[in-house]
Amino acid sequence: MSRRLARKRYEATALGNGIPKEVLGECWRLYSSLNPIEEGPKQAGDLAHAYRNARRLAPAFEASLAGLQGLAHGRCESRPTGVKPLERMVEKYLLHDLVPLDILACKCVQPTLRDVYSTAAAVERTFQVVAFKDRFVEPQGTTGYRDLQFVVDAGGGHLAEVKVVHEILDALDEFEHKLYEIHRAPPFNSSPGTRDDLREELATLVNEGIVRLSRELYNEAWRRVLSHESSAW
Amino acid sequence: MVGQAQEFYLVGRVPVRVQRQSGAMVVYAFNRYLNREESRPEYWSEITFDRGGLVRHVHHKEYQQAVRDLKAETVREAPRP
Repeated sequence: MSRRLARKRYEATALGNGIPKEVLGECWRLYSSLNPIEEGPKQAGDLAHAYRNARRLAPAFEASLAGLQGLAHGRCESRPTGVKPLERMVEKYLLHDLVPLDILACKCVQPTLRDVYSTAAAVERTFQVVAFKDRFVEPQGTTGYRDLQFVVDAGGGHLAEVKVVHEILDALDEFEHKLYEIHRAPPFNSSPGTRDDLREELATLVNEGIVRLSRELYNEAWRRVLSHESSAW
Repeated sequence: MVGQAQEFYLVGRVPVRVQRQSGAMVVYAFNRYLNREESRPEYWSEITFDRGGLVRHVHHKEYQQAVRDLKAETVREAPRP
């Protein structure tokens, strides 16, 4: 496929997903110049090695984040715990059979899409970007969650995650995580005296409701983002 | 086995098969240490929410290849007697 056709298709996808014309050029530049996350960047070494590296690199990562904050303004923050908590890291490792890429991680929260995409350029100036995914252009398939996701080299090949999010979508983050936790362990699993088949049926109902709710929330939030955006330009 | 009632995913490196039958859904993940699939409903939450961008919807062939790769890797990793 020619580059021109590829660009046309990508921009059509972006427009179809509601991306304002004003940021299309930047969307394409990022998409066409960075490696996609789907290619599967891997953390170097085993889990223990990666964890030790993350702890060693945490202060430098924090300093880079301060630099990013200076370039991008908005609100840039890493985890309150610095590195991912050990038990969460092991849980993810066992679930994905992969050393997590977000042992070191941060997010930058911005008030407009224009600021989101200008932060993307600031991320590239601050870190060596290893992989990228634009989930504003291609939102998460089921819930419609959107962000810019970067995998960066935090030093010596240790990979870290940088997310750039819109403040309206970020405000839903904690609520969404609670929905995920209920979806993962529906409360009926432990109710004594409930028949197994009924419990399964109820769990399915709850899970379907959660997915619908999550999708509606993100759709509504996205409508608000776009409505704010049109007044911001 | 293969049909419209099945979907295949890679969750990180784990091959996952979702089977739907008569309105019911069963989620199987390939456990490379046991060398077989096992029912793991929690993978459906990973697929549904996928906040880490680690989930890929794949074709049956890619799923099979991923299973073969993991099997081969696990044999290589096994301690020699």
